[in-house]
Amino acid sequence: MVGEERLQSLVEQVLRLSGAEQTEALLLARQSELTRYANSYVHQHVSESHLTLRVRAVEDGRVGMAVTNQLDAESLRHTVEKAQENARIQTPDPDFSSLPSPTCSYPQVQSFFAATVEAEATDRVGLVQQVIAEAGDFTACGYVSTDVTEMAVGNSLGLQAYNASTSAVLRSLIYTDEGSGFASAYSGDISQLDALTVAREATERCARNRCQRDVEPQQFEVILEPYAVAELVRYLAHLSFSGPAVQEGQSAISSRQGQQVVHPAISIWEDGTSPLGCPRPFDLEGVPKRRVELIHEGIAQGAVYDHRSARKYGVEPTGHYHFWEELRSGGGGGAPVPTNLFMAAGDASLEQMIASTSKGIWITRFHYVRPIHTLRTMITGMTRDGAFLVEDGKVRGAIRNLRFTDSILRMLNDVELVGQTRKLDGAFPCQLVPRLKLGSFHFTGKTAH
Amino acid sequence: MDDQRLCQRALEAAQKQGASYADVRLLHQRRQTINMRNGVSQVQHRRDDGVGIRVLANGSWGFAATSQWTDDAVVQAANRAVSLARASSLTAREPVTLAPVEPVVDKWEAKPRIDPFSIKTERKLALLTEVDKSMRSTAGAAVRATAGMLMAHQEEKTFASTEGAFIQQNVTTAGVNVSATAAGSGDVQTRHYPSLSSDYALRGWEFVEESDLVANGKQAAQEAVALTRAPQCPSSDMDLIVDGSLMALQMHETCGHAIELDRVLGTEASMAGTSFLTRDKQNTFEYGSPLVNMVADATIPHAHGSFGYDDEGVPATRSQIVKDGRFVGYLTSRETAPVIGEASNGTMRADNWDRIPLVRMTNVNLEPGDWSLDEMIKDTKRGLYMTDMRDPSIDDRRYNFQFASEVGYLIEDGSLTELVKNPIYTSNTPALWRSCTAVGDKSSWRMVGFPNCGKGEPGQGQRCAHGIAPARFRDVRVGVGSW
Repeated sequence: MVGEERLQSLVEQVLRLSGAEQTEALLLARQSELTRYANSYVHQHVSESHLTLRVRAVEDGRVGMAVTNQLDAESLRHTVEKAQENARIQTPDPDFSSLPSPTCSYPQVQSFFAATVEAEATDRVGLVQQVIAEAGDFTACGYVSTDVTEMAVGNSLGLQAYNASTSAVLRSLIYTDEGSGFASAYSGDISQLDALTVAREATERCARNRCQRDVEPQQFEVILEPYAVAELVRYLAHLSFSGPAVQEGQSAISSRQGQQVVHPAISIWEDGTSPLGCPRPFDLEGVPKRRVELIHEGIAQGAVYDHRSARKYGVEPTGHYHFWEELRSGGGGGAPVPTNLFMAAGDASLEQMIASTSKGIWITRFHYVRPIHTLRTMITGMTRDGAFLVEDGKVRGAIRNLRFTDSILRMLNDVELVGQTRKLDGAFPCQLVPRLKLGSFHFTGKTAH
Repeated sequence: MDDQRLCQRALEAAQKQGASYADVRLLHQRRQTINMRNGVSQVQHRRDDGVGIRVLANGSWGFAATSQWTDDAVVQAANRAVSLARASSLTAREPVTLAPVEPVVDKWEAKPRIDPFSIKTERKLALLTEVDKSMRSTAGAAVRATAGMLMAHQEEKTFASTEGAFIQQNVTTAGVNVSATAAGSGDVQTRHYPSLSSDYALRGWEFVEESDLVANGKQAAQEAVALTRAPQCPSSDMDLIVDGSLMALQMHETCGHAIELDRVLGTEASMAGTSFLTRDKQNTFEYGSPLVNMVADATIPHAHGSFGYDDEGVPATRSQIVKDGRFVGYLTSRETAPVIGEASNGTMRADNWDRIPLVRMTNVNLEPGDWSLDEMIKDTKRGLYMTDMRDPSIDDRRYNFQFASEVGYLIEDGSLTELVKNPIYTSNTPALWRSCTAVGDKSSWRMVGFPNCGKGEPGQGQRCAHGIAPARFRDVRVGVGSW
C-alpha cells in the first residue's frame, strides 16, 4: 500500500504547484491480483500496481484536466501546468460553479480488510483448488481476485479526504459438453469467500443443466436468480437514475417522478454507506455519499447527482461523481452514476416461486445484455449457465438458451413474488438484490446450446 | 535509465528467479482527448508509462506490472511474476510449450502524415465548436444534445525476450466522433458520425481533416430529427443489406471473436464464452455462401488493427479465415498454434503495459465482391438497408445474435423508400453468412477502426479494425420484439 501520509503529501504538493483559481488533485492507488483458471487449471496469473494522479484546474469557469502515472517532481509540475493550460484555452462551462467545499465529516464505513491485503498467490490458488476439486469430472473456469484501492482527494478550497478499500471476488463457471452452471461470491474480506459453497452451487446447476430441450421463444413467466436481477437493475440504473438524464428528459422516469413506475413490491435505493454493500465514504470529488431513494414501493423518487449537476438543478449533491470508464483507460470526464444499489427483499422462497409457476423459465443469469431504447428501457440479451423449464409448479428440466427483448420497467411492473434472501454482486455498480418471480417476460429468439 | 537497460534488468531478474522464459514490454504513452458536449469543451492530457513482465516458471505463466520506472520496481515485478507462475503450477496439468519464433531485433513505426500533437489545441476546439454550431443551427430546437470528440494517441513500445528479441514500435493514432440527439413525437433518437464507436486509424491530423466533421455532423443532426418522426421498423422476414460500421460490427462479433483460438480452447469460457467454430470445423465447415471470403490482415498500412510485431515478437501476418465460404483458419499465438499443428500467425496483444497479451483481432476483413451498392439495391424487390451500428448482443458461443443500427431504409422494387427507426435484425452466424447473395466491390470497401474490443479478466480494450463492404442477405428476421 502507498499509505495516507504519502498520498496526502502528493496532494499537497500538487496544490502548492498550481496557480489556478481552483485546483483539485485526485490520487488513485491500486494493487490488483487476479488468479484466472480455465480447463480446471490456473492459466493466467497477474498482478498490477497503479498510482495515478488526475489534476483539475479551474480558471474563470473553465475546467482543464491532466492525468499522469509518473509522480516525480518534474512530472507533477508538468501535469499541473497541462491542466492549467487546458483550463485557459477551452470554452467556459456555464454549469460549473465551483469545486466542492470542505465537508465537516464523512460517514464512517468499514471498507478495508487486512486479510484481503495480506492474501498471497497461494491463498488464491487454494480457493481455485477447492473449486476444481468440487467440480470433479466437470470443467472449471473463473477467477479469484483481490483489489486494494486507496483514494486521496484534495482541493484548494481545503477539502481533504482519504479512503482505503479492499475487495475480493470468486467467480466459478462449471461446464460439460451438455451445459454449464455459474456461481460467484463477493466480499471486502477474502476470508469471507466460501469457495466450497460457490463451487457446489455452480456444480449442482451444471449437473442439472443436461439433456437440454428446445423451447420456442414466446412469453413466459420467469424466476430470476439474483445474478439475473442484478443485471436488470444495473441497466435500469445506467439508463434511468442519473440526475442529469432525469432532468433533461433522457430517462424513462423523467416525467414520472412521484408516479407509480413499477410494481409496489419493488423498492430500489442507493446507499454508499451501508455495510451490506460495498461502502465508500465519498465520491471521486470528495463529496460525502448519501442514501437516495430511487424507487419506493414502485414510485419513482429520485436520482443521483454529482456536485456540478446538483448545483445546476438546485438539489443537494449525493456523492456520485464517478468515471465513465476505468482511469487506466482515460477515466472519461466523470458523471453522476449509482454505485451501491439495493433492492428490498420480500418474503417468498424459491420453492414458493416454483410452486406458483404454471409455465415459466427459471433463469440463472444473462449474457451480453445491451440497451436498444433508452426511454423505453428496452434491452436484449441471452440466458446463460442454466435455464430450466417450470410447468405446473415443477422444474421439468434444462432448456437451450433463449434471447429476450423486453422493457425493464415493463418486467418490473409484472412482479409476482420477491425473494426473502438477497445476494451481493460486486460488479459495478455494487448491488444487493433478491430473486424475483415475474408474471411475463418476452423471449424473442433461441440458440443451439 | 534507458529502456534497453531496464529490459535487461527485468529479464535477468526473472531468469535469476528460475524463469525458463520471460518477456518484457515497456510502454511510454501520451494521449489528448477533447470532448465537447452541448458546446462545452473538456480537454484532457494523459501520460501513462509502465512495464509488464511475463514469465514461464515451472511450466506455468505469471505476470506482474508496475508504473514505477526504477531498477528496484522492475526487479520486484519480475520476482513477483515468477512467484505467481510457481503458484499457478500447483494446478498445472501440462507444462506450457511455445511454438518457435525467430528472435527479431527491429524497429517499426506507423508514422502519420501530420502529427496530431503538432496541431494547436485551440484549432481542435475551434473545429468542434464549428461542428456543434452546425448541428444545432441546421436542425433547430429538436436537437437536444450534441457531442464531439477528437483523440490523439502516441505510443512507444519496447519488447524484449530471453530468446533475444528486441523490438521497438512507435504508433500514432487518431480518433473522431460527433453526435446529435433529437427529441420529438414522444421519442429520443441519436445519430453519430462516423459511428457509435467512433472511427480510429493509425494516422494523424489528416484523418480528422478527411472526416469532414462539419458536413457530416450536420447530416447526422438532420437524420436524428427525421428519425424521431420516422415509423418503427416493421417485423418481418426480408432481404437485408448491411453496410458501414454495422457490417464492421457483424464481422467483429460473428467472425473476429469466433476465430480466436484461445477462446475455442476454452480459456475465455468464464467471461464472454467459447466459440461454435470448434477445431473439427477447420477446413470442413460451411461458414458462409461461396461469395464470402474473410482474412485477418495486420499488415494493412494505417489500419487501426495493424502493427509490425505482436506482443510475443511474431511478425504481423495476413491469414485466410474464410475461403469461398469455407472456414479455414484461426487467430493464434505461440501457445495455441501448436495445438492445431500451426505456427503462430502473430495476434497476441495486450491493451497496455499492465495486462497480459491475449489472442486478439487484428484487421478482420470481408474481402470485396463485385456488386456496387446501387446494383444491390436495384436487385432487391423487398428489403431493408441498415447502416451505422448500435449496441450488439451475441450469445456465449458467437452463434445467436441480435444487432441494431441507427438508421434503416425500406427497399421496395429496387429503390430505397421510407426511413425507419430502431431497425434491428436477428439470426445465427452460419445461417446469416450462408444466406449472403451479394458482396460490395472494391469501390465500396473501406476500413472501420474500433477502439476498444473487449476481452479477458481483468478486462482489456484493444484496438482493431474491419475492412468491410456492404453485403446482402436473403430472408433475415428484422424488427424483433413486441415494442
